[in-house]
Amino acid sequence: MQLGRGEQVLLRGGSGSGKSTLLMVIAGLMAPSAGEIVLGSAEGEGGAGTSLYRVSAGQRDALRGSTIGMIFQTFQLLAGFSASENVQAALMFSRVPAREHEPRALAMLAQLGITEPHKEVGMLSVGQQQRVAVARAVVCRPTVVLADEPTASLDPQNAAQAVKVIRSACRDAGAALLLASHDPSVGEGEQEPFERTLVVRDRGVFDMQQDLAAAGLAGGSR
Amino acid sequence: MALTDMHIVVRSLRHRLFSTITTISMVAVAVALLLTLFTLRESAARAFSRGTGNMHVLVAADDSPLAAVLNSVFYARAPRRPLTMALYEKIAADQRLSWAIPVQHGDNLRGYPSIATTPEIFTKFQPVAGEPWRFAAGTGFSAGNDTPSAVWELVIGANVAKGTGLGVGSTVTLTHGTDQRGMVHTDTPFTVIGVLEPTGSPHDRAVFMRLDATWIMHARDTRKASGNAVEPMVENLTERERLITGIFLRAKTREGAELSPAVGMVYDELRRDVRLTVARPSEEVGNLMRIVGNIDLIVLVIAWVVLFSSAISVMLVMYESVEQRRRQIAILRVLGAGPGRVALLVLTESAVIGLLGAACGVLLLLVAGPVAAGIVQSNLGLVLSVAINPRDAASVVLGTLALCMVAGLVPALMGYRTDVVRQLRPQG
Repeated sequence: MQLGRGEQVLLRGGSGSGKSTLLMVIAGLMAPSAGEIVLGSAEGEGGAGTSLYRVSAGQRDALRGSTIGMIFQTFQLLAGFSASENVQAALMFSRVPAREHEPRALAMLAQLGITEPHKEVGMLSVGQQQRVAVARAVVCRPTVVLADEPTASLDPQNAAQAVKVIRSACRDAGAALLLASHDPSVGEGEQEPFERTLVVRDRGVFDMQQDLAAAGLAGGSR
Repeated sequence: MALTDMHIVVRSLRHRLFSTITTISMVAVAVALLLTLFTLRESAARAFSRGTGNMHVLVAADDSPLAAVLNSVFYARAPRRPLTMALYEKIAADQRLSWAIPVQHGDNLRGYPSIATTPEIFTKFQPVAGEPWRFAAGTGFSAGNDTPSAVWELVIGANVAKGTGLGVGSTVTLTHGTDQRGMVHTDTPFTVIGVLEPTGSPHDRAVFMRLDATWIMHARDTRKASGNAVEPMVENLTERERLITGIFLRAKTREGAELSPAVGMVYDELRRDVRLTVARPSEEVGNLMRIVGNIDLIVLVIAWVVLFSSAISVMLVMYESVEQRRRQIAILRVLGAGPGRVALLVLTESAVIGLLGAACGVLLLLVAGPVAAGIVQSNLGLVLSVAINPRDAASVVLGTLALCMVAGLVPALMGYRTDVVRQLRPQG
């Protein structure tokens, strides 16, 4: 399975199919039982062809901080911290100089429509929290953003809006997007459909554009 | 301002403010206790080492040399057995001596012990070797001034002045014996002619009077009781009325030298006289400090145990903190924080608790110490110094910091080993 530079891919699959596990493996948080995760191409930003599980744990953490952004179903914001601080938390572990952290976080939040960046995240609406989570994921200009069921906590109207915001933010940041969702409405009826849709099933990842029926379980590109 | 590790630490401490304050208070009390013991030990050692001054030998008639030193130099109790002036004159005639000063203890001024002596106490005896007396106001007894009024002059130590509010020109009467509730020598009022500067020695709480004065004062009372109508004066005092309780001696030494072979010779010769108790004060103080040192060590160990137990409470609080913050730790890991950095955050938090606790402990001692010392002084008459030795303070603060960081090791390891994937799974 490959994810191209700036490519936006929808990852489908039922509950418990392994979508979240796959994202954790890609993020360098869970070692794969087989195979490897290679970050960056010849022109990549995370180092040309860096195999995530062949570097030290420290290097892997640093790589994750600077090249991978993550968005979670429950946002996973730092409680007790402001929106700006949550976004700055991502910059703390990147290579971005400290003096740029606050202005960059504020600019990113403004871009995503957060008008009260110094408000504690618990005081923000669910939609605003979602945007803070998106801002945090893209503020380091990562190579790839991994979004795990980002709309599961939202009603259908807000869910569609959230996906739009995520896709737009990733596009602006130049990051590839791998969005995992079991919600069939995600990706439906969008003006710009996802470039590819992958399905996680039976411990494998299959490309929807290929004929799964004809290829059988061995036919998809894993 | 950019978010830093320290912001995260401070926010975490603020988030559980009650347990943070409680833990810091526990550490602070332990540090204050430890520093109090250090300070008291130093204060006691300083007071003991400073009291003997430039005296080489003390002659008294107490039961033991240590008792002689405690009674005559540290005013523990009034010596019970007296010496005669004839004996003093015989000892003082020794050519190897630089000076010999007779003293008599017995009465008190509002609880402060009196010492009757000669004017040489202010010119030759130094309360602390190398540091002569200095007067905050007035003067000492003038030698050669034997006018009747000069007999009733008093010089008071710094603590007496501070504790009683007396100053030069004040008129006072002394109480017989060491008990404040004893008979007051109302017939013989004294006038304060000098107030001494603090010396940091037991003599700061002494009241100095002339030997003639105490002899006349007591002779007047005893003669009145026995029906003797003759008014006592210096000229008509009998040998039994001219008693002393001790003699401060210093042997001749070479210019700038503190000791000479004469000290040992004089000491050995005087010891042969069975009527006398002869002490080398510095040796007796050294022996006393060695005895007290063992008890001191036990108390210090107890104080360190208290500090150690407060470090255990730091560990418990940090353990709880990490337990509650596992999700936050997992988020930080996702954002790129390595496990080592997470562990460092936890260790920093422990260190901050330790440092704040130690600082509050020092502050507590600085604020509450003088208040407590004042209460002790007014109730027990004990003068305690609460001046913290910077070296002791630094070692206690660093020790506390180290203990708290050690206490943070287990919670830090927990943070290090946080299972990120498990913590980030949606719950419910």
